[in-house]
Amino acid sequence: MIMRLDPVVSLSVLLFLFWAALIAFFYLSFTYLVPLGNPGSKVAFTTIHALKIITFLAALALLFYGWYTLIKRLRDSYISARINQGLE
Amino acid sequence: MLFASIIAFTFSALIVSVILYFVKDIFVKKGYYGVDVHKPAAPKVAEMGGIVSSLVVIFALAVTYFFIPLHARGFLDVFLSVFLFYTMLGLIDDLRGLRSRIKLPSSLFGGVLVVVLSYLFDARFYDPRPPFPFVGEVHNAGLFYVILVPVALAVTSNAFNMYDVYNGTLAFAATVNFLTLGVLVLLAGVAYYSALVSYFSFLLAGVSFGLYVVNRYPAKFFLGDTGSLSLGAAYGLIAVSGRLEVVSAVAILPMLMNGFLSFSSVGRIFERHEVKQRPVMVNRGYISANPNIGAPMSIAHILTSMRPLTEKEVILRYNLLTLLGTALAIITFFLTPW
Repeated sequence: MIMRLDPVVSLSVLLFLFWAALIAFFYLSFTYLVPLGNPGSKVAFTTIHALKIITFLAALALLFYGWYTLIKRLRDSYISARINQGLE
Repeated sequence: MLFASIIAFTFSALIVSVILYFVKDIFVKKGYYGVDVHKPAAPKVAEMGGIVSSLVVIFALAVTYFFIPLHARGFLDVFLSVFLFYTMLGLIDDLRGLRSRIKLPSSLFGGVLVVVLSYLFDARFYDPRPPFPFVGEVHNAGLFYVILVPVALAVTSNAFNMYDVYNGTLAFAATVNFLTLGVLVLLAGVAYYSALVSYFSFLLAGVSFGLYVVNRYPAKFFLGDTGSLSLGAAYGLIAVSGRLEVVSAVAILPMLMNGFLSFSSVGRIFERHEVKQRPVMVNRGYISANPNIGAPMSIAHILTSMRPLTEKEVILRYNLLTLLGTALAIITFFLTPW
């Protein structure tokens, strides 16, 4: 459905969706990731802390990649529609 | 301080726009001009308007030096030095044309300069506890944050640089975003020098507005890399020193989207003159996306992929995206526990 809209509307929707996912991601991190593990051992604490950061960054990269794929698909559909209409 | 900020905004806007309006013909005569390729007549437009805006900022900061407490002068030293560095970098880029393999490390070096100078001047320029939405302050980010500062400045300076492709798009975005940050820094009040950061932000909003007056459609002056790189770096400095890292990143999401699309579609970091294909084609005043697979993607490329648009229509869409980014940044601000 989004592909039929004007590109500025589609881009705005995708921008909003990306932001909403980012905010949801922060909320989930706050709820589930931040309270994880608070052991007495310094080594265990550092390990859990490092794992938390890696999980956080990996999820962020995944989010970014998904968003990029969507935009690329959007562009391809617009271009192919234009070519099909014989405008090139 | 808010009064000083409003005065700084008004005067800097006035001075920048008036000076640029009067020197535009001199710049063209001296050969400092660019060709506005998006217009059918391809007019010559004076370039490097950023020199004037940077000089106004540097002068205003130097004057500020005498009105702030002694302990805040280290902070001002760092801001001024780094701003000066990016202005020089932009100037060299405008005059000589830097290649991406030099420009990117140089813009990273500017960020390293922030870390080193704030240590040397004992400036308390940044606090390595960035506040995140819902989460609040993130502790134990010390080393990670020190790495993040150069990356942040390289990203903001280059993102601003890449957004400066149509008349007034960057100047409009810079004005809106600096004004927003100026107010939000005061509202948050968590930075070491909130009032001073807010004042700088209003000052930069002023020079951006001054640039917008002469750079808006149809442009009388281009900002040049001097303007875009220095404004981008200043934005990064305000974000870091005002402790609005996430909020300011959200505000420039359209710019980040633009830069990321360009680089990822080509598969490497590049300068405009280093790519064979342009993202868009211009035909009798209409801009349309380049349909070739190898063409770099950008916001303009996507906006014009359905049907060709006039330059004015493209600019309007850019500005709408800018306003959306700003609105989302304001919501993000209120979702952050300060």
